[in-house]
Amino acid sequence: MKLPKIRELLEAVKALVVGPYTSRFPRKPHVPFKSFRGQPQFNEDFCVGCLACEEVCPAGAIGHNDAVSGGKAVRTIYHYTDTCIFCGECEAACIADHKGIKLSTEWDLAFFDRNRAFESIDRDLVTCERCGAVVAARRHLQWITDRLGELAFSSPTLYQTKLKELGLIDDNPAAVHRENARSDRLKTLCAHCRRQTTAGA
Amino acid sequence: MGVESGMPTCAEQFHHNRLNPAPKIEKGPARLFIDLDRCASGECSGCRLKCSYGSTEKNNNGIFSVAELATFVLVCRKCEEAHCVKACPVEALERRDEAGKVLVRHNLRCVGCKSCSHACPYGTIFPENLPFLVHNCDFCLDRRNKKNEPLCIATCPLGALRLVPADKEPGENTYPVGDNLLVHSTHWRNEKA
Ligand code: SF4
Ligand code: SF4
Ligand code: SF4
Ligand code: SF4
Repeated sequence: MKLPKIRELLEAVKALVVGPYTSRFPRKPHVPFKSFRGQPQFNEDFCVGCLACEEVCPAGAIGHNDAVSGGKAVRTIYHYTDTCIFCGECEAACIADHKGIKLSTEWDLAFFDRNRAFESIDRDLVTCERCGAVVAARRHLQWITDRLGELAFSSPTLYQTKLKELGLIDDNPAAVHRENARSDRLKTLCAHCRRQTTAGA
Repeated sequence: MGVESGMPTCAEQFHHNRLNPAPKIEKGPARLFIDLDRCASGECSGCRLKCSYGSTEKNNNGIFSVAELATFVLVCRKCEEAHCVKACPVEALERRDEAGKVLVRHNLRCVGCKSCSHACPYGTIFPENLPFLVHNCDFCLDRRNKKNEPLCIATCPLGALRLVPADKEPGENTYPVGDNLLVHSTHWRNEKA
């Protein structure tokens, strides 16, 4: 008899004593390994709304919608469970310390209605005070401001967002000024308007 | 110059730190002319031109790499302490010390978060010009002798592109960049400020 056969025999005897390797699923719920790659989940506390996860997702499982209505602009980021391949690229790219979206060990992902196979997160947006276009998510601008330190004071878009967060200003006082190039420069602006207003020396 | 004679295009020179940001006007293969003012006017929402590179990616064709190169060489103010570089979370942006202190975005590192765009106090980098997947323009150098113009020229809806003989004196606000590019751009200029 060859060696492997003896090993199998030993396993069989052992199983009689300590019970089978297989779990009692579904009677007993399955507990996945800690490193199991399950459902990616957004984290309210960390996601800054930059959309790097959407850029890098190879399956196109992350999408977003920017809704601007009245004075409010909100970005909703979607993660589609039925499209996701659980590769973890989103978590690897996430600029919020890889915590804005994270693979969980959640594996029980069956849906009766495929249209509901998604989860989402909402982030406040900052819009351009000159042209109305979306600049970026408020949290993202705050994240950049913190990263830049004192350099952020070169950009009104950044320091005004930060001052608003700290409750030091309400609305940008320059935003209500008469339209002329100089006060435009002190507004919260998108990159296009920023370039136009700073181009003339 | 060009692919056939084994010389790298200016996109390759850029990445190998051999780009000449202010070359002389002399004989050579026709330069690709880009009107950056028109291209970056915001009139175009999402570039729709066709590119022989065969890209099927929306908002990503060879011209994005050309516009990025031209912007970094001409529009960027080469900040001593670059905001964009400091903002990047993955060290994808580098400011070269040589060759006119031109920025380079290492696109294999870039995750497309646009932090650099929002950090720049001059609006140099437009967020829509930071594709995660990059197609580096080769200026269709090996297709030139078949007499068909690069596909981008014929398909740009704003007519911002054309071929210009390399030895033609550039007009106002027009600058040659590297070996293959001629850029029209009215931007802030250090010597005028
Ligand atoms: S795990 Fe992969 S496929 Fe799923 S959302 Fe993240 S990047 Fe996309
Ligand atoms: S912070 Fe992370 S999870 Fe949020 S949008 Fe950016 S990459 Fe995605
Ligand atoms: S912050 Fe803007 S102007 Fe300064 S180096 Fe970066 S892109 Fe150029
Ligand atoms: S878009 Fe790319 S280069 Fe710019 S900050 Fe993000 S990772 Fe860095």
